[in-house]
Amino acid sequence: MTAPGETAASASPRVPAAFEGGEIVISQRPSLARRFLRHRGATAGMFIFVAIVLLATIGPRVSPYDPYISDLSDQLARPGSEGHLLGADHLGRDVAGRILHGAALSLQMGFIAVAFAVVLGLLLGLPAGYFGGATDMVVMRLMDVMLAFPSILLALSIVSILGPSLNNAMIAVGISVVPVYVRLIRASALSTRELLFVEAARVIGVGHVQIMARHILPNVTAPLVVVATLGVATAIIVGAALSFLGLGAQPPTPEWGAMLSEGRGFIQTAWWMSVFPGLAIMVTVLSINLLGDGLRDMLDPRMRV
Amino acid sequence: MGAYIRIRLLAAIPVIVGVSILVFISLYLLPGDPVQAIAGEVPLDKARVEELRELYGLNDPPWEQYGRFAVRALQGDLGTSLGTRRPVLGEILTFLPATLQLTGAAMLFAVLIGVTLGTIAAIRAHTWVDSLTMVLALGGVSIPSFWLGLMLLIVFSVWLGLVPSTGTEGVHRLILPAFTLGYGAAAIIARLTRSSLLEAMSQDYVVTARSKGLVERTVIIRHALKNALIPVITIAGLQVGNLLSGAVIVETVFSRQGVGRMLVNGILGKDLPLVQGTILFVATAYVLINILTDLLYAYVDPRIRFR
Repeated sequence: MTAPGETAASASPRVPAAFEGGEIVISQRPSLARRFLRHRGATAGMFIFVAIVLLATIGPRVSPYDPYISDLSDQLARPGSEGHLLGADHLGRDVAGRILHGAALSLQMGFIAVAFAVVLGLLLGLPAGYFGGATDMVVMRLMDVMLAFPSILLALSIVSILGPSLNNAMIAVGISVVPVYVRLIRASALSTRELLFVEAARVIGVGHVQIMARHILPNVTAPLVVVATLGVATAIIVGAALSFLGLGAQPPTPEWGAMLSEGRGFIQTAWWMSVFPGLAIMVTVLSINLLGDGLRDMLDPRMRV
Repeated sequence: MGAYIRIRLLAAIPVIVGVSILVFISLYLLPGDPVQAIAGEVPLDKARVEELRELYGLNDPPWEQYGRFAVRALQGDLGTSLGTRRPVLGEILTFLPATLQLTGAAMLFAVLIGVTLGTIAAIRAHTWVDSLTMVLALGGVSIPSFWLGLMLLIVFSVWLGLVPSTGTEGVHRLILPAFTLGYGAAAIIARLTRSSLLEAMSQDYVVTARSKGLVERTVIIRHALKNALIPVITIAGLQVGNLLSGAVIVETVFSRQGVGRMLVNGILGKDLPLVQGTILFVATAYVLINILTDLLYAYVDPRIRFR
C-alpha cells in the first residue's frame, strides 16, 4: 500500500497551473482519450475485447449449432472438416459454436463477480477508512482472516458450502476477492479524509454518508477502475478454474472451463477439444489485462510496474 | 530480531483463531441440519438425528462446541473423513509430500526463470529483448494454468511421447507440472525484478560503484541486483500461497495424488470434515509461511527491523 502522504500529494490533479521560476506554466496534459489511444497495448486490448463482446452477443444468434444437442454422426470431427471449423466434441457438438455460447458466460462470470466484490468493498472499505477507530479495526481484522486463505482456496471453501454451480462460483469468486477492494478503498479513504475539502464539508454540516459518496468516493475511483479491470481478468480465470475442477458450471453447459474439463478426457484423440476453449479464455483475459495495464499507466502512474 | 519474531507470532494468533471460527461456522451455514451434512447422503429418521445431535454435542451452546473443536484441532485432531473413515490429519500427511514436492519445484523454477528473465530485461531495457521478455511475462499472467498444463501434455506426452501424462513417481513426472504451476509466478517475479533492478541501477551507490571502475557485470550482480532482490523475496513469499492453491488445479490436470486433488474430491464427495480440516490446515500453514517471509525480509533488509 502507498504511504498516505504520497496519495495526498497527488490527490489534487486538477490544479491547472504551477509556478516555476516565477512564471506560470500551464501543464500540457493530453485528454484521457488521447492518452488512451497513444497506448498501443491498451488500444489493442480494447479492440480485441470489443470484438469478443460482439461475438458473445451476436455469435449465439447467428451460429447454426445448438450447443446442447449432440450429433453422433459428427463425433470427434477434426477441425476444418465440413461444417466444423474448430472440430466437434465427443458428442458431435460443434466446438466453435459452443465457444461462442460460452463467451457470454465467462464475461458474466468476470463482471458479476467483480461488481459483487466492488460493492462489498465500498460498503466495508469506505466507512473503515473514513471513520477509522473501531469500525476500521473490526473490518480490517475480518479482512486479515480472509487474506489468510491463499487465493483460490477461499473460493473453494465457499463453493464447498454453497454447492457446485455457475452462480455459486460467481458468488464464491466475488467474495474471495473482497479483501483486495476493501484494502484499496480504505487506503484511499484514509488519505482523502484528511484533506481540506472534506473538513470543509464537515464544517458546513454535510452528513457522513454524503461526504463518503460525494467527496471520498471520487478520489477512490481511479485506482479502483484499474484494479477492478484487472480483477475481471482474474475472476474469469478463477471461475473457469472452478468449472474445470467440476465445482462451477456443470456439463453440458458450454462454459469454457467445463469444456476443458471434458476435453481433458480426450487429449489422446481430440486435441481440439482442449486447445480452442483455452485459447478463448487466454485471448479474453489477455485483452482485459492489456486494457487494465493501459488504464493503470494512464490513471495512476504510481502503480506502474 | 527476537522481539520482532515474538510480535509477528503473537499477531498471527488472532488471525488463526479467526480462520478456525470461519471454518467452524461453515458447518452451520450449510443448508439443512449439520448432522445430515456429516452423514452425507444417508437418509436419517428424526430419532436418529436427535441421537446424533446429542452424540456430537450439537445441542450444546455454540461457544462450547467451538471450544471443543478448537481444543481438538490444537491436539491434531481435525476429525474423521467420511469417505475413508480415517483421521483427516493422517489423510493430509499422506498426500502432503507430493504437494510439497510440486510446489517446491515450481517455486525453484519460478525464482530461477523469473529473476534471470527480469535481469536480462532490465539490462537490455527498451530493446526488443526487453519487449519479448515482458510479452512472455504478460502471457504468464494471462494463461490459465489448467490450459497450459493440457497444452504441455498434448505436445510433450501425446505428440512427442517424451514424458508420461500422469502419475506422481519420479523426477520426469515432476517437470511438466512444476513448469505449469510455476509459470505464472515466474512471470510476476520477472516483472518485479525488472522494475526493481531498473530503479536500483539509477541509485547513487551504483554510480559510485561504476565510477570506482568496477566492470558492469560486478556492478549489476554485486551492487544493484543484491538490493533489487529484496522486494522480490516478499513477492516470492506471497507466491507460495498461490502455488499451494494452484496445486489444486495442477494436480487435477496431471492426475497427481496430492492435498489439492484430495480437497477437490472431498468437496465433490461432500466429505465435509475432510474439507474443513484441510482448509484449516492449509490456511494456518499459509499464515506461518507469510511470517517466515517477513522474517526473511527483515533479515536481509535491516531497515525493516528498526521501524
